[in-house]
Amino acid sequence: MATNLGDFPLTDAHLEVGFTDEGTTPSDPSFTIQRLDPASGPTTVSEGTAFANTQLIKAGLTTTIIGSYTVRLYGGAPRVVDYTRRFEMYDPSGDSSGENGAGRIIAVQAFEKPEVRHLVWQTSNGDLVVRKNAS
Amino acid sequence: MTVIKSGLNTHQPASMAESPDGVLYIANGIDTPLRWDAQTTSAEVAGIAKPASGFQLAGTTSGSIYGKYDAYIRYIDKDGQRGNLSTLSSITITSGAAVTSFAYSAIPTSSGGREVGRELWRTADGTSGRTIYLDATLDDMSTTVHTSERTDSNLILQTSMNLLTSDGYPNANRFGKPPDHMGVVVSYGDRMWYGASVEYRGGMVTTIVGTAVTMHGARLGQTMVDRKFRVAGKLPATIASVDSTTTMTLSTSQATGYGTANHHYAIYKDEDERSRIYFSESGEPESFPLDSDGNHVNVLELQEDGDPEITALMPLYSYLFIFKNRHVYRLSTAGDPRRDASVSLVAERGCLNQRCWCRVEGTAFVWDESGIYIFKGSETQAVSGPVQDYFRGTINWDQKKWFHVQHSADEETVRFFAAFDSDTYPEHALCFNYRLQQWHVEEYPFEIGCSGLATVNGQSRTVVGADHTMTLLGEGVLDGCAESATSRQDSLGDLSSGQVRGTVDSATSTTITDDDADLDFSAWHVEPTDVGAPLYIIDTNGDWQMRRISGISGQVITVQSAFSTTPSAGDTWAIGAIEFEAKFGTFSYLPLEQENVRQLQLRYEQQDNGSTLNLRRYVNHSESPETAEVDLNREDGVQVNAGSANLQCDLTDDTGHLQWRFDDGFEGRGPSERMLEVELKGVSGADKTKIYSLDIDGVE
Repeated sequence: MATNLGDFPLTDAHLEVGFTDEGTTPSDPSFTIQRLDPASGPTTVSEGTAFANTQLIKAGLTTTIIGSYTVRLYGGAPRVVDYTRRFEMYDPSGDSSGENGAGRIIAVQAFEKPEVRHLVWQTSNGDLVVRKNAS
Repeated sequence: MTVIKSGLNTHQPASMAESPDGVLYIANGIDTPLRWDAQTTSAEVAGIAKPASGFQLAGTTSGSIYGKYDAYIRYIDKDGQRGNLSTLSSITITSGAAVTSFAYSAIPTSSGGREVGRELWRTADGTSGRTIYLDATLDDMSTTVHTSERTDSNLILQTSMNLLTSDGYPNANRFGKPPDHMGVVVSYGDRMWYGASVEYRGGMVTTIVGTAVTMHGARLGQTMVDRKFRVAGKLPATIASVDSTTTMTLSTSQATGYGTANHHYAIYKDEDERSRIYFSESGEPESFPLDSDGNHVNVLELQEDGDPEITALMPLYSYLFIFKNRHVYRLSTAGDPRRDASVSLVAERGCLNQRCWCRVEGTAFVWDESGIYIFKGSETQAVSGPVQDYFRGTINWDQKKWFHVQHSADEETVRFFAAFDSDTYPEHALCFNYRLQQWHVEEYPFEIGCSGLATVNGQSRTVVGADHTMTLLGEGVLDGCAESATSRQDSLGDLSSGQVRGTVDSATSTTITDDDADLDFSAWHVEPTDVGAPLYIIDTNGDWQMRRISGISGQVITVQSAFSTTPSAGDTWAIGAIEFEAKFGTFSYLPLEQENVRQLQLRYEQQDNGSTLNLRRYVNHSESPETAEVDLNREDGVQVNAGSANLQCDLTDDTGHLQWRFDDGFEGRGPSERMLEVELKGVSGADKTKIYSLDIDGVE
């Protein structure tokens, strides 16, 4: 099976990955998600199944930790699938439960008056953050 | 840092603009627009709510007041901003049943917003449907009853308000909330303007069964109720309710039939909204009048031109320029856009999104699907010819909503941040020095999600959102880490702790070890592990690979992903280094070798600390650089290994000058090498690399 893993839409507590099946439909492949912990190295955080019939990969993630993750997909016959893709674990749809103020910064605006200099930015986990009197 | 709002949808970046009265407004076309006045600890919903319910009005005890009376309440905030009137409560009192006072009861108390009080408004006999008067102000949000003994003669001495303007527009109900489906907000002409209707397309449809829709990877919100839902190109349905972040119910089942999996979809307000812009009342940035049906009346719709989608709004000169994908319109107004707005087409160019224009010295640089141009109000001047190849193949247009543009005045440069290839967020910028009329390309080790200008130490500086941090762009000597908050230095100087360059003693696929290194960065302003600074491994041939750091422990540096080649003992490592390269034009060799020495001379500033600089030579349009046949190791710090293309230059050499002769391109009596290109590649160290000149002799 040739697999294109496509995007990684990540919802609040679980990962769902759409993929397209370009070849013979295999038996449901399995996959693991590993977090690359700076201190302890790769840690498996979830194992699950990619459902060939719905072309979805689903897994429950017990924690929402900003960091680097690797998704490893192991496929069935007739061709071996071992597709690895690293992604940043952000909730693309906004999630206030994450670490406050963390995440990729996707919008910024200076908010300045003669007596103050504030910087306002939006993070990819849905927070709006202010740093007052930024300098 | 203070988090002033959580849970925003991040399908697209928020647009922010400051009103003339100094309040910041935030819109993304999906969530309810927000305001922040720099005083409150959290952002608030823009606009004051209309009371969700009416109240009861009755006359009490016998007296002299009679007639037909209408009464309303409305909410006010601490600054005196008001909301729209509630539904009216009406009473008709006959002369035979005249009363002494009015009893207001069941007055609504909760709104959930920033409201702190309420106003009670009432007509006098004979002013129903025309004029209302302020009967009382309640300075709390808890009282549910009030008694007023104002007679008509007393009431008409109070503050009055007409329900409609002289030309029939809402007046008392001009305090509607800003539209929540517009993704752009700007300030122009003492009003706030909203435009660029947003289509939400987060995730995919999982199933549609009847009217029930289940999604994955989506975050649906209550503002999406009554918006349109279109899936796989089918005619749209209307969203009746949003039941969770991933489920909703449609008003009809016409979209049924696309219920297997992974269909793309769009949620949007209405097709016509793409060509509309909304504006507030003058001097009232949160007031958007509504008609009796609840529709906004401060709306302008652009003409049909086959290009319906407004993408950006730009105040410039005394105009508001409205960008579509391929058209630019100029809007002017003498003060009342409802009466006198003039909109005219001024250019057949466009703009990618609200962040893809910037003002520069009285003009604007704008980026559209065709390229980059200077906009002068009605004239356009294309400037991106030299980099047009990037637009045809390299740029990932699917992610254009994340592109952005920023002007750096002190560099006299405009940066156009773009996602290349399969990137989602920009990691590159096409950079145009408008004074020198020159382009260069910058690549960053981080995704640059946004950019802006901020005043730092009294000077406007470029800041960018790089992963988890706001970063000053193009300053300092390191990427992803900083020894101190002080920036704009040319050298790190003497470090009290931590070192940024050393020699590998051993390595694995994801780690390197330097037994003698001081890797204690705990006293640094930004440690290399904070955001994952880049780590460069430079081998003895001068080639390198880069990985981002995930951890440092003792003398071991761990990277986020495995090296392509496991480093060897003796390789050089460099934390936070900045890679650069320049390849110059093609030159022809002069034919007479004896009269034309073939050489390259480089003048540079001597460095205190080491860095990497390679010179490479390409001949006859080859895509591969020439490689050395023998080792070379000169006393002036020039070194090349046999088989390597890199002439490595030691910039700590105190001559500040390098000479490289290449008189070897002849066979017989004619030159075998006819064309020459020179490339300069390097990785910076603790000092900024400064090249003063590069001279090539023997070419034309």
